[in-house]
Amino acid sequence: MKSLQCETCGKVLAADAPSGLCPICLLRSAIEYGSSQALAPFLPKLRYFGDYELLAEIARGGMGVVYRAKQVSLDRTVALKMMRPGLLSTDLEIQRFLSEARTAASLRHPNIVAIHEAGEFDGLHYFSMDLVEGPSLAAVVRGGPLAPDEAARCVQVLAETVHYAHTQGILHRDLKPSNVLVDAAGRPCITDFGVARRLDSDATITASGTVMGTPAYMPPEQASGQAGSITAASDVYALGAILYELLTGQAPFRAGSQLETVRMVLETEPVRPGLLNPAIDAAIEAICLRCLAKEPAKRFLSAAALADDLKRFLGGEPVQSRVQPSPSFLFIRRPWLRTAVCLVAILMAWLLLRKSSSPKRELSTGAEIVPAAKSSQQSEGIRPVEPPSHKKAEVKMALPVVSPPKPEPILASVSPGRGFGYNQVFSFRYPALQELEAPVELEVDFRDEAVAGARHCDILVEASTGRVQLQFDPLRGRRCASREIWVHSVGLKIRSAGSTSQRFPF
Amino acid sequence: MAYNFGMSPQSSSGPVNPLFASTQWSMIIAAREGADAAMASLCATYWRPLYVYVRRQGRSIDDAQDLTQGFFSHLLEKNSLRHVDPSLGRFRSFLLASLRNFLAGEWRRQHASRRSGGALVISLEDMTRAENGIAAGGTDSQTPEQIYERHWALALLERTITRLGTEFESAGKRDIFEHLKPFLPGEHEGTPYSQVAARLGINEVTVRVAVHRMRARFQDLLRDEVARTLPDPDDSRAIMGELRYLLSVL
Repeated sequence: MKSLQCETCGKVLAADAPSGLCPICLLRSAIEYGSSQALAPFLPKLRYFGDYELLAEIARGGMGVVYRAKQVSLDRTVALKMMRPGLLSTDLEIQRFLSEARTAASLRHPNIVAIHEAGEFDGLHYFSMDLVEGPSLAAVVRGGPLAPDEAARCVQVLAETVHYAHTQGILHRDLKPSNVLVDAAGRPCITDFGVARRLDSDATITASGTVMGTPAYMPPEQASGQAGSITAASDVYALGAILYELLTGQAPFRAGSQLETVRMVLETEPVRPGLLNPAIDAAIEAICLRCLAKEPAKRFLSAAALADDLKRFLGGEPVQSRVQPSPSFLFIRRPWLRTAVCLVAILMAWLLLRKSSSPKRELSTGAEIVPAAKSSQQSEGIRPVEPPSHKKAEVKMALPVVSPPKPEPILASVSPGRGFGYNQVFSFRYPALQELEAPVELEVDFRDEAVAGARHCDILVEASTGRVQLQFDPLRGRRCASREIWVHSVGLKIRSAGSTSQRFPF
Repeated sequence: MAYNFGMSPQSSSGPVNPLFASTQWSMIIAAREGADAAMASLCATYWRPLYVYVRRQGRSIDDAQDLTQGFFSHLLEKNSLRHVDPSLGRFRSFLLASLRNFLAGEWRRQHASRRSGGALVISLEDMTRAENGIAAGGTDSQTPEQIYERHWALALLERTITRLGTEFESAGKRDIFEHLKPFLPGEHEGTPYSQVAARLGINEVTVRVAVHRMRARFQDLLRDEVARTLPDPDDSRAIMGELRYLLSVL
């Protein structure tokens, strides 16, 4: 009799596999899966919040945490977005948070997550909204590219929705797969208007020199920090980037660091979707690439025009987009200006990194994962969790480009997936160090473009220096992203103990 | 047309309420006080790891069946459980330690007559699977304790899948569960989503969403199952620690 194999990991299934499924993958999947239960170890300490009973944490972002909550007075389940404790928030951030609530509340559309109320309780700002119990589009596409028709249908709905927002005078400015939730009926709903802006506003909140948005889905004019150049065409670009990811399974630009991604957004053309997925025909590819044109004027004039062309594609009619022979370089023709814009963009991106990474780090390490030195300053509401007994490996830096694999692979026991939403903690236990009782832990932030969407990781260890390098998705045809950690800080001396690298699925 | 593959709002994604989840400790205490249903549930879930452990001690099939049954009877005797205290630790460790003591003692010889005609009924399917598990490769190098823990993990997974299937069934969606079940362990190169969508007559995105929700529910149920075997069912860190430990023994 032919032995059965697990379709996920390829191992032979034992005769006593539960329900014929691979027990290792089942358990690993359950440990890794981003369900609410795993995300809220401190929930019992903050059970009630004003009129709301907090049931579970469902997401975590740069500015706060989203809970599934029950609104007691109305006996309904909602999503409650709560800003991180006030002591860690600046006035500007509070202003932005409330601006998000106001912006989203002014929109009423079945494909936009509706806002119910906003307020402040016990020093914490919050707003409640519809609870969409479904994965994000990013999670949906993690299972592989969608069929072109499915992708077109989805983006058509999004484009119509974005057009509605534009007619109400609002630009989203951070459209990406993770900001689109898909409900049980398969309906996409746009959320997170955290960096949205009114078309007629003077953009005082967000034009203070900080690049807002997510580089991988950001149009060149936004990536270069030209806040005044951001128009409806910028959202059209982001819709094109979403379409690109739905068609190919990957964002149009993704590099080892945000700086590198910004550089690619500004300087390089995306790989044609058809080269990444042969199932994509020329018509949908033309639509997608038209959205991603560097020059805003070459994109669709409006999100509605994009929706119309997608509708034509779905109806089998000729589309109005044609593949343009793309300029080899930036749309800015004067070399000195091009260089200047690049420099400004890189500076802006650096500011973004500083701006976005340090508070997140404070939030995650101070509020719920590891008590940092500042923990005593936190509010009474969210208390830090007890410090883990494990020693923590320190993430020193992200390499923009991976160096040649000088380090040797190590046979390490890795148990990935414990964490808090975007923050996942991976434990490493080295067989060569049996005397070490506690595993070394590495915290990876999946908001980091370097690792977002990665599905495999190779661990390489440089025995002489004790440097550990994680290479994310080295074989998936994209540039290899990596993280480096040094284990000196925890007093470890790493020895190579194997001849093959360890690979594990996330 | 809208499809809803989830359960009712309460069951689809809500965490299992620990207040209503009877822990295995409470079940054993209930069983000690004479609740037959609790006894049956205990036996059904944990029979196999215990049986396999006994078999790996070199006992024959008949002997192992008899001893496992005898162990459950012994466990429920008021005297033997008078010191049971949930704060003692993991239920997994407690059961194994109790079984070791039982096998080492003279209890079996002295109480053989009382065990005969007991109520423990093991299905042929369970027995076959247990024996298949023993016969499965790679177990020769494992200690009886390692095999016990592996089968403990398998038993928990099996019970969780059964609970998940029952939830789908009560929502009238057994057929959907059978189609989606192969996706429980994670993404794979097997049947693509599009094919499942075509079979079910719905679009691919809806299938992916349904799989996502099913996995989330599976995780909730598995955590609940594990929580029941721990001294403090509300201790998230302990639950995660136990899950990771179980992964390491598979």
